[in-house]
Amino acid sequence: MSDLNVKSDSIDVEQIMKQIRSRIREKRGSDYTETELQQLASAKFEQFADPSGLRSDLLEQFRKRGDEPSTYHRHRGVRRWLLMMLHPVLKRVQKQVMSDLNLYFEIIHNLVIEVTKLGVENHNLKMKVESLSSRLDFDERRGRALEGAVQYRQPRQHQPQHQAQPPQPQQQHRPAAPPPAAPAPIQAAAAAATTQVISAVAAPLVQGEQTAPAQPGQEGAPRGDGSGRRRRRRRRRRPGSALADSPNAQGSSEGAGGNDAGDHGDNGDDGAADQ
Amino acid sequence: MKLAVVVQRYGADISGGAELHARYIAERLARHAQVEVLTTRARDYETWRNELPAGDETINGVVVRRFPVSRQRHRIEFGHRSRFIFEHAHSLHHELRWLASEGPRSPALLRHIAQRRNEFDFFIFFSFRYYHAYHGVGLVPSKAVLVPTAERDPVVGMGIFPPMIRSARAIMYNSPEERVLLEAMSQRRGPGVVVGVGSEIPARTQPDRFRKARGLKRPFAVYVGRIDINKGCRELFDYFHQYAARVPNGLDLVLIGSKHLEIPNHPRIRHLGFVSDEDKFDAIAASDVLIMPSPYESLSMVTLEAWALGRPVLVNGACDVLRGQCVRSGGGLYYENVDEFCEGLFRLEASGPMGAALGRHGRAYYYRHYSWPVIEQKYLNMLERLAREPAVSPAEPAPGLIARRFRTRPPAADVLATLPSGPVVR
Repeated sequence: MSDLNVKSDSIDVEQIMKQIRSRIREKRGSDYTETELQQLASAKFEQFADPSGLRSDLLEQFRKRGDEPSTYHRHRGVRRWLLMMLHPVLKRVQKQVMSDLNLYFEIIHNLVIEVTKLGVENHNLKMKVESLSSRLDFDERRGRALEGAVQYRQPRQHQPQHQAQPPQPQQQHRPAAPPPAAPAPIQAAAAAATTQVISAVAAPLVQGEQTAPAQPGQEGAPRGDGSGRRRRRRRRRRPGSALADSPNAQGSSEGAGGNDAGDHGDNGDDGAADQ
Repeated sequence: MKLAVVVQRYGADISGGAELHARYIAERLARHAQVEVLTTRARDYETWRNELPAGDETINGVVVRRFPVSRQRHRIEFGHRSRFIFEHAHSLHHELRWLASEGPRSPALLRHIAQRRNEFDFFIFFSFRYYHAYHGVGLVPSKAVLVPTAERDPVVGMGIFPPMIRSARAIMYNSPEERVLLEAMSQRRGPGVVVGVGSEIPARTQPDRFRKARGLKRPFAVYVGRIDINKGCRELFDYFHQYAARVPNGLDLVLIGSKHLEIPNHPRIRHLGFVSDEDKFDAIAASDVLIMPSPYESLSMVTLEAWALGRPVLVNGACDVLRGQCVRSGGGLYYENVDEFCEGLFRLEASGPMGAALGRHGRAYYYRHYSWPVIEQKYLNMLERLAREPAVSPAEPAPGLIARRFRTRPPAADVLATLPSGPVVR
């Protein structure tokens, strides 16, 4: 942008246009002039018409034809005389044929130029698509990161008494495994950060990298006594839940030991900070 | 001093470029001299049908005399003749037939000029390419002041016009590019000056009123003029589509003028139709930038009006005149392809780095060259000079009836290609 700023007192439109053109060239990558396009087209055409690239020797034969004796000299007698008499007519026909051939040649040549142009355009479009898809990927990743961040935006209350409960043996046989939870120190750090945006964004990124499934018997593992299910039922009945009550956050909180809160009343606290 | 302004159409509601130009000049010169307008009864330039009443009337203090058109223009015939002359070798006879088919053919108007030539000091003819100007200059060459309003189209390459250009006593050009073109075409060396025309710019505009009245909430670029393929509007629509795709939050496009071309259905294109002068100026004032896509312009008054209101312009670089004006004034950018169009429009947004600066330069350029005191003074100086100096250029004799039938004229388009092109930078 800096090179396109102008001073109010001295405006040189031609200079601005040069800057705009150079910017366009930068954006588009290498740009082809009309001459370059013609060269490209002719090069491709030669390549196509090159007999070494083809099995046929048609081109060579065509070139040699110019050295051959004329049609009349190959014949003798009456036939030759007849041909010479018909020369004006034949010449006219030949002219017509040649003009047709020239026309076809020109059409083919123009087609090759157009195809080359389309090829260049196609290349540019491919580059654009690549650029757009990388941008889209980035946006998606960012979106996912931000979606994950909302799990930690609610402040969690610390309830140490929940930690004292020993894990139940049935926990190991619970069929529905909750989603993986973050390790305890990270959750604690996230909870301590409370509503700060930076920590809210940073926590899930760390979580994403370090998340491991909670093992039965560890803190944060789901209980097998059905208390987790009771907790879910209660929370679903509660209207007007916050973001933390969304299905995503609920599963996460259960996995992170939030089910403990459900065992001890309806205070609604998630267990993310119950470490 | 008594002046006659001779123009193909005239009226307060006729908004064609040359016709409006003629009206403004007639009304302004009427403050300094006795002015009469000699014109036809036509309103429609495509047919020259006699629609307006014959006789005299007064429009904004200027006496207007209207004469009937004897033959309407036949569109297909004129198209055939044009193609033949532009693309094939032909004779002067063919060109004269072309001129008659173009019109507006009004022998009564020419008779009036011939009969009353001594009553007027000067005849100011508008638009060199029409029947009335060609034959009128031939009738009164020593009193003929020509305002050619020439564009770079194949008509300039025709053979009948160079003698007529040379015969005119003086020429009031619209731009330096037009002067270079016509002098190269005719080898003329007589009096001439680049004048152009001003506009009736309101002292105060109300852009907010216009925005509210039309429900325009987003910033927009405006096009004012006939929405026609000849004005480059199809290319404008194509380019704007691509701009809208590349710059999703960029400018909308507002079109003002009569529709002669299908307008694409696009959420960011609005057509407001024909609007009043007040609305037109308010629209320009409310816009971020004015776009002028026409490849053929001899001046573009609306471009000057945008500059007068401090708005930058984005013009078609294929038009030498517009491009030259932008370069000389520093009041706008030009484009030659879609990439330049998108970049240019992006740069000229009001929130961009250069739109306001270019608008200021355009405004200064307008007041320096196209404000009414400057224009009037140039006309008066030229008329005084002509009154002082003796006429030295007699009318050139036309070729005889046989000589004019020889097909010696090359295709007009080929002649045009040999004439100098490009903007005049200084």
